[in-house]
Amino acid sequence: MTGGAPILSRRTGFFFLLPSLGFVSLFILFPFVWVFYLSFTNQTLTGVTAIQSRLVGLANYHRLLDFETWMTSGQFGNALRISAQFVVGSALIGQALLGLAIAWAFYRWRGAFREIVYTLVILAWIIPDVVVAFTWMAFLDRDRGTLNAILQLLRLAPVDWLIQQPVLSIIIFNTWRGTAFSMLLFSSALATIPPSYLESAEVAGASGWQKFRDIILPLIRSHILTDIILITLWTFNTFTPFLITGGGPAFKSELVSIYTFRIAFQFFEFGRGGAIAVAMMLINLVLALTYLTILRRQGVRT
Amino acid sequence: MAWQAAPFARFHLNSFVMAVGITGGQLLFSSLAAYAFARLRFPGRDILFLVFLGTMMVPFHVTLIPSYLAVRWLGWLDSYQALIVPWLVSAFGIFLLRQYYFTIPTELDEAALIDGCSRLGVWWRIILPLSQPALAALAIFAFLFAWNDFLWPLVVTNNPEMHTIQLGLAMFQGRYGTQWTYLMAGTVMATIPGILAFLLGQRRFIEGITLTGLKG
Repeated sequence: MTGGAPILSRRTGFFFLLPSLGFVSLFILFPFVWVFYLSFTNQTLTGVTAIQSRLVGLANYHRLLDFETWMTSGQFGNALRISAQFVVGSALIGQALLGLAIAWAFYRWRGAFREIVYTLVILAWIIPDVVVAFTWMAFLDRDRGTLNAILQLLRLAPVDWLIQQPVLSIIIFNTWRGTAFSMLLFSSALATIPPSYLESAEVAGASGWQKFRDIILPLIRSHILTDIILITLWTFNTFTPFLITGGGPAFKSELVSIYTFRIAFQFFEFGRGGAIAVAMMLINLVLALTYLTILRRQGVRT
Repeated sequence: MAWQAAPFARFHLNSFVMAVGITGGQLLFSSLAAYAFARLRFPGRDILFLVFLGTMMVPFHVTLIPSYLAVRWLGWLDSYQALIVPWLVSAFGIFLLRQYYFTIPTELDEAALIDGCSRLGVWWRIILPLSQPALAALAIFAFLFAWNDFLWPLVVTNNPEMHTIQLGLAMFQGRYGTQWTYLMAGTVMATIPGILAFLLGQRRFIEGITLTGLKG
């Protein structure tokens, strides 16, 4: 599988890799190790502990996982629960399902309408965070927002979305924001399925749902899993909702990523922030391994 | 008006320097590394490749604090180095280009090597020109990422002189929150470069995503 002349060229190989290796070591591998160390110290940005930090053992972790208080407002367990709702709502139900639905709807429908829908969905994905956050704040605004204007036309009572339904708001926002990736991945997967498969099913009298369930779904199963792995991790780690709700009101939409930021860069407690970072990494690892195991099992079966 | 209310020219310049620096660096370093992984054989190659792939799994929030401390220790806070250098290498870029290099026939490399071309020459004269579609895809991903990034500039720049357009716009929203016309103007200015980059390379961008879904 290796191309080129089979030369055992250690020097040439390292010459090509040297710059990448240097940067990756300095800005990913080294910080990766350092964050473990940090999580056992009381390092802060200012004050005495900024200069003379010391090892505090598991104190940061104890504080994080203090089961007396951890589900209360503004604590780690609470952030974890909100993140779980956010991932299930916006990644699994929102982006993956909607992306699949759009890709399937346009499976055999080329032309202008498809181009318009695809372009709009992709635009929602590539516009800068700050800009979409601002647009969504304007859309959801209580007094002058577009959504409440529509509700009023329908003679429904206006809702202060960002105050009364902060989690639902960021779930819908993130679905709108990120569906493009799933849509593109699924439509490239569907493009590999020969139309003749579906035509023979139609001759046999299969309904639309039957065709989807019995032909399409088994053929794109590995794409679905790849998609779910990536968007679950991305959604779990995203920081953008901070720009809309700031984690509030009263920590009601504080995701784990926002919680980390608050502890580390608003309270400047790097040791505690490090402990949260380590916890986040473990959660990422568990999620990734779970999916990879499922992927491998599926691979054996097919 | 919005132009006078905040130094938007400066914000744009900063974003532009950051985005171009990151894009250039990722193209250069990722293509070099991808060449080594796709074409050279040396001890430890496969392990190293796995390490690079593994770094894609490390969320940015995990390395955020130590990266910040490293940048501060280097004395780089409020500088272009701080905005650019940590992002010069992308594991995703290396992966994308390596996949693409496998589609280039190795006979081309071999012919050039027999004619006395060096490895570096093969990379520069044969591989790079032939992988333009993949390089274009990576360039768009890198530019969009850098132009739209918010959290890292927020953490490493304090001085408004070094703010990027996204950061400047967020501050501007806070300060002129009720002046919708200013906000709209600023918003449009921050959006256009990204959309332009996307429109210029739309096809490549989508091909890039398709490559991600392929089995390696």
